[in-house]
Amino acid sequence: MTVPVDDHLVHRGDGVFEAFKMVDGKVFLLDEHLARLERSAGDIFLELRHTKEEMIDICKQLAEVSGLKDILFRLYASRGPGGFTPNPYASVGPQLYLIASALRNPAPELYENGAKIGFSQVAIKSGGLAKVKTCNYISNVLMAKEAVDQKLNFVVNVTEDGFLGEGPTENIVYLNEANELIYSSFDHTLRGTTLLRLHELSGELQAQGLITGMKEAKQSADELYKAKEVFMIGTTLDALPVVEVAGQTVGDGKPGPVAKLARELLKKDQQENGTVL
Amino acid sequence: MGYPVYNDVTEIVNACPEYAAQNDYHAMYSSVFQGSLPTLN
Repeated sequence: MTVPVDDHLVHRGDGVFEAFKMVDGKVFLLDEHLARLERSAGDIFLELRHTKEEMIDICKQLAEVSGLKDILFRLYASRGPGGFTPNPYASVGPQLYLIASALRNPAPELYENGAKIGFSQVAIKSGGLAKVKTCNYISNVLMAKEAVDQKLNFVVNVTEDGFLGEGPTENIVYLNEANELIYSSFDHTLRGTTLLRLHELSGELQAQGLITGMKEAKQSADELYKAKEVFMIGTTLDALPVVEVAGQTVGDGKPGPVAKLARELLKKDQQENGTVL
Repeated sequence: MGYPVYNDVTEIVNACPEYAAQNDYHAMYSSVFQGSLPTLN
């Protein structure tokens, strides 16, 4: 597990990354994750060392070597080694590091009891960089520290204007008083692949009368206090209900039906539409 | 432009199997290591 210390990934955070999971031998949203990787790399003018097909083949080989069916792949595309300045041209060329770890899901009790979240004091990323999944993640690191220090499961950031952002590695959605499922505008947040997939699947939530629709919106963080349901969405979480926001109870204080069905839809999707390598 | 050869990943993994197991690391690919595909088990 060694990366050269003069790889610009190490000393400047100069690289992009993705994390995606294999569940029961099928990779969830593989194309979407690799497409976002390519977009992120393009945004920082980083040429990927491997083609998409080569990266998929490496994932396949890693899965075979590991012998696992449930894997969290972590893919890092770096500027590469050479020198210690921020000059991206001082490199022997881009590199790829790809790790297969055993997929560890959150404890079942967390889904049964719900999570507690708070608001972060860490300055939110500026518009442009917030949309690129780079390895420069110090603000996310500090947010994760805030959550641990405050004995919370997550914190979410807020813009200077008081608009809702995202968690360290999760998107947040909530059910408003009009039964609309709302997620933050992508002005200051990463385009979450699981979130966007849930949006595609949200017709079922609507068909069952749980929501009137799902949409991206620039909303005040205060809206969370009035929400009927709140939940976090991410690659490893799927949909995790939130029962407390900054010390205030959400709804009746128990995980709600929208979060529950959202999780079921995502898990069903993983089984039915995951990619066999 | 060449690049100095680092220790093979397999050597590192063999040197710290408990660490690899503790963190659920099972396999790694690194282009720096010329595409070796070691197991961490």
